[in-house]
Amino acid sequence: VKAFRAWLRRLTALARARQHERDLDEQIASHLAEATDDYIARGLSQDQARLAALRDFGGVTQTKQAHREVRSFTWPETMWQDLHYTLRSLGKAPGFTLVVVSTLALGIGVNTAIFTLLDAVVFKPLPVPAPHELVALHENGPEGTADVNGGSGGFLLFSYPRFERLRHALGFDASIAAVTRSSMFVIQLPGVTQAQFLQGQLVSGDYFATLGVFAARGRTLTANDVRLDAVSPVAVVSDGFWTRALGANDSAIGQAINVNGVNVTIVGVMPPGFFGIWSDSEADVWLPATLQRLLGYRANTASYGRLDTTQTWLTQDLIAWVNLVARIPSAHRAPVVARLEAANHQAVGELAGQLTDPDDRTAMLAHTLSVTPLAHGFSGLRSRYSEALFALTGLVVLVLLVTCANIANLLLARGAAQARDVSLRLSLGASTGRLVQQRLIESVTLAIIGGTAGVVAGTWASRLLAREVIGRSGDSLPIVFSADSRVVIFATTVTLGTALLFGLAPALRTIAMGRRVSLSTTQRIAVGQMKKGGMRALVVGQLALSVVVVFAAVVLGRTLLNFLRIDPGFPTDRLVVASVDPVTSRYTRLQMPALSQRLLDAVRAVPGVRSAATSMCGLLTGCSSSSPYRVEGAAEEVTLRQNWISPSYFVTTGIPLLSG
Amino acid sequence: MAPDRSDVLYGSLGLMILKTLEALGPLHGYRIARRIEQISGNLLTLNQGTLYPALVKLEQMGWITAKWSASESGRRVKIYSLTRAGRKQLLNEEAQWHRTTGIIERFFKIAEDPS
Repeated sequence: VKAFRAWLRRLTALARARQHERDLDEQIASHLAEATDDYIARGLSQDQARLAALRDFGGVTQTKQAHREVRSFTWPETMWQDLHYTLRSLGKAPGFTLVVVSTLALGIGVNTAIFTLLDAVVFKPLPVPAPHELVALHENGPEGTADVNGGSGGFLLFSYPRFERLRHALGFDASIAAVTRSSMFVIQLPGVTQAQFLQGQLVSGDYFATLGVFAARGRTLTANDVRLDAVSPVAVVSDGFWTRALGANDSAIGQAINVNGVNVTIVGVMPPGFFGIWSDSEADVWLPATLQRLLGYRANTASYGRLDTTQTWLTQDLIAWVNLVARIPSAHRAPVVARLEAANHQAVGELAGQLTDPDDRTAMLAHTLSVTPLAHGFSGLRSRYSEALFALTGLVVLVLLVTCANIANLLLARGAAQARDVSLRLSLGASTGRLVQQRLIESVTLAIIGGTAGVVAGTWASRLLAREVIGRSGDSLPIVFSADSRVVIFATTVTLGTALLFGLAPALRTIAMGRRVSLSTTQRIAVGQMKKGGMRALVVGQLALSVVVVFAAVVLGRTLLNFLRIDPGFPTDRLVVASVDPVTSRYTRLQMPALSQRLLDAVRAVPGVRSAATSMCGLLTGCSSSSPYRVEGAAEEVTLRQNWISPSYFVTTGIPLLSG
Repeated sequence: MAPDRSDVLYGSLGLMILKTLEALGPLHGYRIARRIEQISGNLLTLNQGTLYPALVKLEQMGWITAKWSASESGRRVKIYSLTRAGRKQLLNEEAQWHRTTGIIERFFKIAEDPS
């Protein structure tokens, strides 16, 4: 303990070096003055007394140096010297430096790039307080089980009455909220004729409170805004929308905007970086779920039986359209989940009771509630790409290992040339520790330069890759992909780890060589012999790794290319697609065939257009709808995916028919 | 990085400093140096400067403390005094010293008397 305290004092002395130095100067000055006084009292002249005092004292400079060494550490100074030496010697070997730095930049760059993607898609927790307390609710049934990553969205949906029921069962230990997936809304700002499309989500009153986030300006939505008995036309907007469309103006709070034909008042702006619980599908506006019917919201539903979807969905138990997220403190997890399961079971039982067909009833009763952690949020990208990303991680780690082997080899060759220098230093009394320190500083310097270049290139590459994979252009990549402190910490660790990996062995070896090399004329031969023996293993290892990596890189390249151009199965080079939203433009269902025909006529009139067609779901948009069909004479209903299309659709798109 | 014993005491200089402070009470650097020279009866040629690294070490170990004050002639000097831990350390060191010298002495006696 005592030794540790002394060590701590030395450490603190480091920070107050200047004061200690002044302190010592003053002590020495008064010491010499007192001694001079004594000699004068004994009858010496002023000058003689001063000289005598200095002689008794010994060397003032030596005293100061000894004092420094005892008082504190000398390594900051020696490190500074080594850094200086390193920079000078690297400057003298620009070719070597360039090769090492660029190899490292490549190795660290690809690792940073893949880590950024992997972190964004798999590891990064939601930017909310205590994300590990968040859970997602879903219902597994005979139709299948939910993709808990939120990829498909199926089986994660609940009806609003079911949500209310589960909320009441929850008790006071936890909170639960309903939220829809992002879907397109038409927004019109006052005084602006051009409408714009925005991603928006309908939420229940406790959504923001459950996530534990507050508005940066104004307020979030509360339970009072989302009540079944009173419609409250308010909205909370994202920081991005506020900056982009509202000029980051404080007067935006209280301003009215038109959303799908409904005037709503902006009551709050969320902090930058908040995107909700879908990390790959951010929202720009959050609206009360009670506005569902007014806004004409129809997206992402699953319904049982034939229903009138034009009536409000809030009271219909057979339309599932909200995702449920709950915050349950870990201590209460088990009892709260049990209560939720019980409440859901009861609700399912009541629904089954209303069904007449016994098969339907059995199927309904088979639905069970399931609760899964939501610390990382929903991400469709995760379900699609996490396996590929893990495979890529393995590859880039290999690349980095080969890089390290390469550089270690170069350093060894360089070390062999420096053996004489090392042996000279050893004979002049340099300690092994000091020489290792100097070599490692060289490695770390190289790694930091290469690592910095790698991080810059890697961040850029990750954005490029993400953009290609997600298919977004411009600067609108999801926030979750932005490089943050996690990437910096990763890159720093990798850089320093790399420096140790490629630097330590050559450093020790060079010093060992220096020790064996006598300062004689036979030195050149001796170095040559040692060089051969030590490097063989490295070269073999490097060759083996290289073969693996080249092979893997080819596979990787092909995989990446596959991401970029998936062959849709029909020629796309002469197709043009446009989307029209008749619902938000207030066309009724009955007007649509006429609208469709008018649009087609207009398009066909354009010179150069060979054919035109419409469809309910656009080409390659991922949109789908499904209904149950029964083949005549068959007992079973089958669910088929469908698309409503106009005549000449297949001719226009060039999608080949298998027969008929 | 932990200092070992012989290093801490700079040979016997540290012990001499502690003993001096015990005998005379708080003193500044020059007075300590003079006292050590006087006691040794000029048998010891001390580079007075070496005192200061030794003083820092003792201070770091918590055996002495220092504070700025005025000397008899009115100069600003750093006055060193023994701490309680220092007093205890001194007792230990004294006992250790006597034991060691006692053993060495016996060896010399045997060497003088080869019977």
